[in-house]
Amino acid sequence: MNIWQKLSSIDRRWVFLAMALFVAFPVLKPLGLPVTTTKEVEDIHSFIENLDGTKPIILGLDFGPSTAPELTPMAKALIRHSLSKGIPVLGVSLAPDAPGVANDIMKWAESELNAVMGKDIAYLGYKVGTLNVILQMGQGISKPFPKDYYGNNTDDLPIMEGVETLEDCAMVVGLEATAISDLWIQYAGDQMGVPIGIGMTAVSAPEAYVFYQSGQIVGLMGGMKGAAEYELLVNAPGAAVQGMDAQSLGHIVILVFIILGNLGYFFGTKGQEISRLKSLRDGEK
Amino acid sequence: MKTKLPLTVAFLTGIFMAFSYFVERDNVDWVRIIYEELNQNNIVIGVFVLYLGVATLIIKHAKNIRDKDSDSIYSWIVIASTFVVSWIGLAQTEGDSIGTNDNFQWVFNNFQVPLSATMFSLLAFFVASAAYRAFRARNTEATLLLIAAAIVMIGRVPIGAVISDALNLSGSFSLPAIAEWIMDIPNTAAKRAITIGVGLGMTATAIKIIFGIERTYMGSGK
Repeated sequence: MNIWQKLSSIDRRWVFLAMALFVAFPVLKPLGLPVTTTKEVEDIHSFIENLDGTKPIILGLDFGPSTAPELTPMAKALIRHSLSKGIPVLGVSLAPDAPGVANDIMKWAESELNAVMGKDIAYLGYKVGTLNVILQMGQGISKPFPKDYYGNNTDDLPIMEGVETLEDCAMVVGLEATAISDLWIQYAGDQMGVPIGIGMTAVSAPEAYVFYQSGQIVGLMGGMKGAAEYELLVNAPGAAVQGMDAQSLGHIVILVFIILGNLGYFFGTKGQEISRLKSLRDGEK
Repeated sequence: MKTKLPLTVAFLTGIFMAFSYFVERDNVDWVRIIYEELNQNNIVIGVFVLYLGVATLIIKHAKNIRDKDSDSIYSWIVIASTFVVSWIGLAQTEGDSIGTNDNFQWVFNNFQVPLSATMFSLLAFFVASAAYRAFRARNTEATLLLIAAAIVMIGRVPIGAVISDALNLSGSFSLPAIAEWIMDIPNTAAKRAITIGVGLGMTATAIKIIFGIERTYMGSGK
């Protein structure tokens, strides 16, 4: 086996080891790579920046622990930004594994940002039904959520003063790991006319560009990079900005292995195949 | 009756829900009331589906244990976890709000969060290994895909800007700008085509279900 063939058949445990080392290294020793902001994230930021604070924002916390590293920093940065502008945040969940994560985010806002539960922030919990929950919220937010996650009557919460339906809210920001974003866009956005912002995991984000281009959403945050951008826009670099170094090196590792695999393929496997075909052709002659 | 009843329910419900979008619901009481009831009923059905899911899970794993399957230890763990977590959630919650149950949150934070995070983070390793093995420039299409993927992978993370600066690539020729172009133009064009196709397909299927042409949702199709 020559060097090229070896390159195309590296034991996958070496790939795993390289990935582990290159992702762990910047976590232990941050590289401080510069993060630049993109228009789709700036658009959500400026939309919230221009709100007058009289209506709350609905924050769709529709993700569980598996995607929390990407989406929790978005939620925290959005809550930080909204509260700094005096805009209340009303959290809801349409994914069954979301309440545990969402509860932690709300507790974080209470302790870190001194938010008053029920007044500055509220969390209504999870309700099964996805689309029907959104449609019911259009009829009245307390219809699918008569009580909040902590057992208080939703209509009695100070945050609900003057707020009856989704249409009474300034916007919906859906933080999604699944296609629930489509439902927020199609029903809360297109049907009820509520402005929509979306934050998605990196693998799902390309699907939302269609809605951003068509103007159906005001902005889009994609993956940890989107979260890092928002953290920078609110001048509060956190977990997402820290994670960008690890993600950068992780991508480099994948790219290097792809290049090695292709070098091995062209100069090893494929080269041998071409030589074999040539010799067969020469033999026929 | 077994066939006609569900077909009639599907027909009436489908026609009504479509009709409700063509009237001002808030101004026509009977439309609003039926619309709200149907939404509420759908949520109730969703709750039953959750119970069905739990029941199916338990039946499946109980069968594994009964058959002394080689992996039955995992079935024991699944069943034990289901009952223990349900007990913590149901028995230890004061009132009717899970949000006040700190034990439930503790279990979530100390079991589900690390387990889910571990499973999801393994993706990074498998993606790297799969990309190394499968991403070969075997033909023109694969080469185009490979180049686009490489640019997006690098251009969408901070190191893309650093590499662009080092290579003196600026403006529209920088890696982040090219990655952004790929996401905005080719990606969106393809995704839009798929979305429109899916939308048309869903509409066609919905019409077939409403008019009873598509009946496979009732079971064997008989």
